[in-house]
Amino acid sequence: MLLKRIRQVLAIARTEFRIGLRRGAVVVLTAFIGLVLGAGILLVPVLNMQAGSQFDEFSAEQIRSLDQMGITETIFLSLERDESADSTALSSVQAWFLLYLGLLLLPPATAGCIPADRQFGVLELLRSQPIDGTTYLAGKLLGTLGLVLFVAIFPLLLFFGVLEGMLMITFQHGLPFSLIGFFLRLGLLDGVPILVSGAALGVLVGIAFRSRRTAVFPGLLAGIGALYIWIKAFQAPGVFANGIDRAAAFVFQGYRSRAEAGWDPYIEPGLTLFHLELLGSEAPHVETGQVLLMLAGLLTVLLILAVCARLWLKWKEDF
Amino acid sequence: MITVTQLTKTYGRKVQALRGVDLEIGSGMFGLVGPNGAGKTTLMRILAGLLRPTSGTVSVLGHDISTGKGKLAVKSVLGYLPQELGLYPDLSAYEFLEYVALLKGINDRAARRNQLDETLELVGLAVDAKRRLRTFSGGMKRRVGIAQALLGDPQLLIVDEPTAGLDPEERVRLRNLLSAMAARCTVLLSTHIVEDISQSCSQLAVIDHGRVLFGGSPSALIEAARGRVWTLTTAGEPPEADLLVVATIHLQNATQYRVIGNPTKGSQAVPAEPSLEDGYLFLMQQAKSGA
Repeated sequence: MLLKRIRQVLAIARTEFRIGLRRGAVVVLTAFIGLVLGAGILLVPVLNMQAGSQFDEFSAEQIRSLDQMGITETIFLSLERDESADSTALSSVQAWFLLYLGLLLLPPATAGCIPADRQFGVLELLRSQPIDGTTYLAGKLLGTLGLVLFVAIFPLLLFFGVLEGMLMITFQHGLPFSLIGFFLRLGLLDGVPILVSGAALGVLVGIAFRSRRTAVFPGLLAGIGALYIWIKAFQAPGVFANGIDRAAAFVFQGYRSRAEAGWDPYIEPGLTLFHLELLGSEAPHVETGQVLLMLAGLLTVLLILAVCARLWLKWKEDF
Repeated sequence: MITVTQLTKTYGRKVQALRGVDLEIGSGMFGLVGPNGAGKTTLMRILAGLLRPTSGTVSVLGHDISTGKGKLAVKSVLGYLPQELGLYPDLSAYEFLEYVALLKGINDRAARRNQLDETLELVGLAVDAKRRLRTFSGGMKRRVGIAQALLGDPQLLIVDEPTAGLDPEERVRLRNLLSAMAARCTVLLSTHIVEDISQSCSQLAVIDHGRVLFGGSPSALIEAARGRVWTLTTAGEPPEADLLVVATIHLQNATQYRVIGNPTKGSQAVPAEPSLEDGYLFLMQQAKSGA
């Protein structure tokens, strides 16, 4: 029975994913948000990298003295690459607020998901199938969230691709794995929750409306509300620019600088802390518990909304 | 197989769609006929478990549809074609039917594929299966609707106005298809086109203003009109006002009417063989006059 229900949920999710992919609104908006965020993060590092390697500007004497310290051109370029990686991580602090576009724009884009079934008259047909409202709602949510996360992968890959290309061209060294890990942590701990919240909120709010068009404005209002509540409820302690939330602050604070670690043996061993304070050394530390609490709170709110949506389906559609 | 007892449905406070309907529907093909707004769709939707009745009981294949469990049990053996058929315009016919097949629990990939291919062949859409539904004509969409209802070998097939919008050829094809289905399951066909019933149903009910006016075989309904159907030829003057004109043919120097009612004794009316449509119209006339 449970297996049958899971299969039905997956069938609904797959169809929703397929339809969403073809309708395009969610795809375009998710890609847009990803591209804007990626461009925001890369703007400063790319401009800096365009100036080229500092090594090219060194005189022969300077190169000789570097060499005496054991810093060959390869090592220097590798360290410069690591500095660019640091600069990219630092830049992400400034640009991360752009991901909040997901909270703002995804709800109106996904709000039409269930109203479309009413609009096209498919809901009547689906209600005659051996599925209940919970299965239907779960499938719709899963399909929409799957689509948003799937589409989000492409701007992320593009982001890494551009960064890799720039680093290779400028410093002949590719992306350090630590930076990939940093952005993946940031994406999983904060990016995914933001995108999932925005997309799920739209689906759940849209449930009350009869057509895709009528659901857009309420979706937008829900997005504005969600953005306000998110910043109010989850803002990291201390005064940070751009209302960075706890999960993002947690990842930023955990950033380990490769450049500092790289320079350390050549300059003054033991001096550097291998730790670049992306949020500034004054920022209160965000503990793991605070992040877990934030994610649990978020999950609870979404669950409550899902239960309300389920009850609405039962009340209004006897589904 | 389906037992309906004292079924009522009221929308809001005023609109009474069904008023104490009693029906027994056995196996084979059962027709539900009545004018627009008679309550046919409401009855169909209740039987399909899509609408809660206001009062009364409904048992479908032994399941009480007032309970969630009963409703789910009925839905798992139900094929349903709603009057207002909705399809996803962005999916192909095959994708849409595969979706429905999965919801119906046809999980084995090979079995699903076989059934989809067979059903698409049956409704004549095998060639167009990969085309998006947005490109389909009204008739083709109707056939997709029929196909989805046939998936999963339903024990009960509820089809609401299936021939609406179909050309004569498609109507005949659909009637034949439903007749073939009636050999292995109960088919409940709702329509306001009497011809559809006369060609395919062994039992029927006539419903009007939420009440069942007649329940029985088509021949019994025809018999009810025997002796009330006449052919009347006049030089041009219309028949008496209390006669119901069901057909008019303008001849070269005269007009021939087919009428239902009791013409006055001196008239030139000649008794005619009643059809199912005559029986239906006679019944509706009787209902209107309160007889």
